[in-house]
Amino acid sequence: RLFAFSPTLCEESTAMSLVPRDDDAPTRQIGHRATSRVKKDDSRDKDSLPWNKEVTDAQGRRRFHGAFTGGWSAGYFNTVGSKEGWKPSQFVSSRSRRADRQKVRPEDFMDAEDLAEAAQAGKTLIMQKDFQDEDMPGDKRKPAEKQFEGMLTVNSESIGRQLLRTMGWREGKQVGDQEVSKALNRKVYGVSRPPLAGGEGAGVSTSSSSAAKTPRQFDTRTGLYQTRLKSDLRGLGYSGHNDILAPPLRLGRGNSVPFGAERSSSTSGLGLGALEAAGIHDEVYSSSNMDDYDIDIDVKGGEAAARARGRRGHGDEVGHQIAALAFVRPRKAERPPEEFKEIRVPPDFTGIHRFQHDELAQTVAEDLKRIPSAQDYLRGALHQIHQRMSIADRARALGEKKLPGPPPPKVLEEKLSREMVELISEKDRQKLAASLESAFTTSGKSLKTIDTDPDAWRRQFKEDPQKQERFERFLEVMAGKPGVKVPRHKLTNWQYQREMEEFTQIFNAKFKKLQSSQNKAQSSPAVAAKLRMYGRLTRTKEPWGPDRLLCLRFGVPDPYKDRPLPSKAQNTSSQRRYQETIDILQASQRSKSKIKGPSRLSRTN
Amino acid sequence: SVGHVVILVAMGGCWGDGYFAWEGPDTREHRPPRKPKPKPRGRRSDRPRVGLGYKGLAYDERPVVEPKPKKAKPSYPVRLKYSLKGHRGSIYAVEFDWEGDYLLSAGEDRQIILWNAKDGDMVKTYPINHSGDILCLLIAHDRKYFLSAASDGKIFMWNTVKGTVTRALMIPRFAKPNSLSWNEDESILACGTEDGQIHIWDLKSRNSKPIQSLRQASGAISSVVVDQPVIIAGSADGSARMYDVRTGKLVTRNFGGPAIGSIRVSKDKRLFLVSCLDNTIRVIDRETGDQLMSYKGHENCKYRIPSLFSNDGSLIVSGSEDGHVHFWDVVGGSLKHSIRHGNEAVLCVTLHPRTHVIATAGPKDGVIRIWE
Repeated sequence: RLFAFSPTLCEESTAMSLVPRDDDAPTRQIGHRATSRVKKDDSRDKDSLPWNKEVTDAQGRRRFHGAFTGGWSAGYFNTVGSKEGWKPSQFVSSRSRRADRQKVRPEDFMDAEDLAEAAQAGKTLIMQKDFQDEDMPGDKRKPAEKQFEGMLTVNSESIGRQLLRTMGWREGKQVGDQEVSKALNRKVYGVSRPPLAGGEGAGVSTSSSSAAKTPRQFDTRTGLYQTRLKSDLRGLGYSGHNDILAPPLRLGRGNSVPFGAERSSSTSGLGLGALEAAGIHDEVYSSSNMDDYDIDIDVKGGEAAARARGRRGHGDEVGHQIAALAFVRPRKAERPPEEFKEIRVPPDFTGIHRFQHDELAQTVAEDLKRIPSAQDYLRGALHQIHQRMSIADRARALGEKKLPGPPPPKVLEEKLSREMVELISEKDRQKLAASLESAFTTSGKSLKTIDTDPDAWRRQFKEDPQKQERFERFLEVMAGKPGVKVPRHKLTNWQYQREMEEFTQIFNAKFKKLQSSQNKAQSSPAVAAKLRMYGRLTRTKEPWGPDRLLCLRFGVPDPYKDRPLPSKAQNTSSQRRYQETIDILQASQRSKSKIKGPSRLSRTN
Repeated sequence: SVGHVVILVAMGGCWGDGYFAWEGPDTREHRPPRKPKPKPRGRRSDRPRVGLGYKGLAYDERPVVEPKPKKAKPSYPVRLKYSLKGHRGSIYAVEFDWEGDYLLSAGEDRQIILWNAKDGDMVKTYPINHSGDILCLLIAHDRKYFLSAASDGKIFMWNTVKGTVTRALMIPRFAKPNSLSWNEDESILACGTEDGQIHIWDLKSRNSKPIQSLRQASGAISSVVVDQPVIIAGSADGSARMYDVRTGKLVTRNFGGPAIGSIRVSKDKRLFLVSCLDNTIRVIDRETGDQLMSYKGHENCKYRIPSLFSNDGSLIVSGSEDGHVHFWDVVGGSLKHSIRHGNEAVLCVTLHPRTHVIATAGPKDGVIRIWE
């Protein structure tokens, strides 16, 4: 049945069972199928271990090996290693054949630095530099080279290198300025000049004169050291991270220590981690001299410089570095800075500007001192101006010509308000008429007596029919006629307001007895409450925004869900200015209305 | 009989039968109330009296004499029933529960005591958790928890039976709360504080901070009432504010000067009872704001003294700074009756929800008197 249904399978299986496989892919038969799965590593069977295998010699005979028996091959087949008798050392480890773990020592993990420290601390022995072969990790050199390296160690330092080192050069650093070398190596195109060495490179800014002054050690011709114009605000000799020219001061050490070995190699072989630096407190046994702190800025020489030069200390270097930044007198003499004379304040100086020669300005200045607000000033100033000059004076001052013709008959009626007319006595009326006459070329006829029409005040706005209409409507509203409204007639807000105020003033003047608690009550709700005028007067309505959650709990839809809350008008500066403007205009209007004469003033206003 | 009021009386000086527990576990656990005495089923005096000469007559023919008309019981409490002693110091809050079985009181000694309203027993004393005088109490409808607000600016929610604090609400800036009120659902709590703010909490969420604070008042808020959907607050700046949540409008009603001590809403929700600190109690119409009535005769110019409508709406009850509790006729405005609580101002006046019983308490003596 198997043959019938799975021919391929059976083929394989039969094939598998007949022919033993000895090819690479490890196969095993599990059941009737061949799999590449290896259930067990056969190579690790006990029998496969070298010392468990049966030893046979070249002829195939079983051999036992021992010290004197077994023959030459005994060790080999039990894998002493090789035919030669020793096992070539080779580190092979694969997944199938794992090598034993090597025993590791701490010295294997130390680098040269650590080894040096450990040596100093007395922990290990290392070879001295001359005899040490550099075992760098990851070394990719050939093993042959490596083997011979240690045998032939040559003093790598040539005399030239030593000299450079004394001058501050380090392994790996370029000799000479990089910019200089770049400048030198720059290709020259056309007829442009080749860049000069030590001259035009960026950052190289020395002149021959300054080169002569610098000491030999810092000869600019080597390009190592340049004097740079000091354009920053750092201290003298400051060079930041430039360790050659300004090496960090070390306490109590006379010999130069290569940069980088900040870890004190004295006693800190133990207890110092890779990321830790030796602190000041670690070096308890170091001695420090005060001389270490002496830095002479003396250029030429003298005692201090000689001492410094004799002792190869760091103060020397710093001093010379500072000397390199020698100050030079400028070629052009600078102009001394402009001197300003001392300003003497006169003793009577008050800071207040006094107007001179202008009467009006003087008035203004005087009044400004007295009156704090512009509104009051305007009222007062206008009043004063009116007081000072009479109509005739002003007319004279302005150089007015007399108008032709007789004075119009309604002069007095229109220009003087009703109250004023009544107040003025007969005699004064005539005087007034006389003065008015002077403004006209022809004297008027005898003016009619003032029409004491009691209802004339109702018609006082006859010129302006719209205003008259508004006034009449207003009177009707005040009388209590229902369904009447004062029409707006395209008035602006404040104009309308002003008119209403005017009308109410007229009305109140006429009906004085109504000026009772009604008006008082309208002043504030508190007053209204005191006067027992309850209801609308004591209540004020304003919007408030309840919280969304509050509305939810009350089961009420949020009244200000989508629209923002209508906020009260803020007292911003623009609003205040607007209000001030309106107040001034109102003040001027009121003052204008007081003066009833030939209104020259209205024109100037 | 109708309106058979129970008077709770206790003499001054002794603390009743319970010892006063200052700190520690409660002395007495909750006890079920005593069984009421069985009422007589039909008194002889109630049955129709038969006149003389009934012998020999049929049952129907017997002459009937009308019983004497009984003296009508007054509708206001007259007699002292009990005096409850157990507090040390002034009492600032006294509340009946909704049924009227229990009375909860708290005050200066920061201790809350639960009393049995019918017999005047001290049922439970709650441990002191507040660090300031307790100024307001609110009992839940189901009596399972209650709220207490103290002058340390915290409102605690207590489990009535266990006596533990289950929740704490913080009043912003730890202002002194003057009045607490909540809506019928007990989901919104409003608290009026001394610094003129009304803080509103949502009790259904676990937030201890208020969801809204209303700052329109310029004086301390003396009294807050949550009358869904309006929140009414009276403040010391002489104005009552009605915050309508539905329309989003705030109506400020100015009272022309005197500070407002308390505001209550009548049962038909059309009238406000406003007690002002100018010795006047005013009844204001809610719609128009007109003053309908004013009641005088008591002293009130310094303290927040509550004034209430009686249960049937016929009387106005108010405490007074001279130690009396006054009752006025609502319609006429005349002073009907006064009962004397003590010498000091009567700061707490609470009406029993069912019967004509009031509980009064005031400062310094720490005695609650229950009148019927």
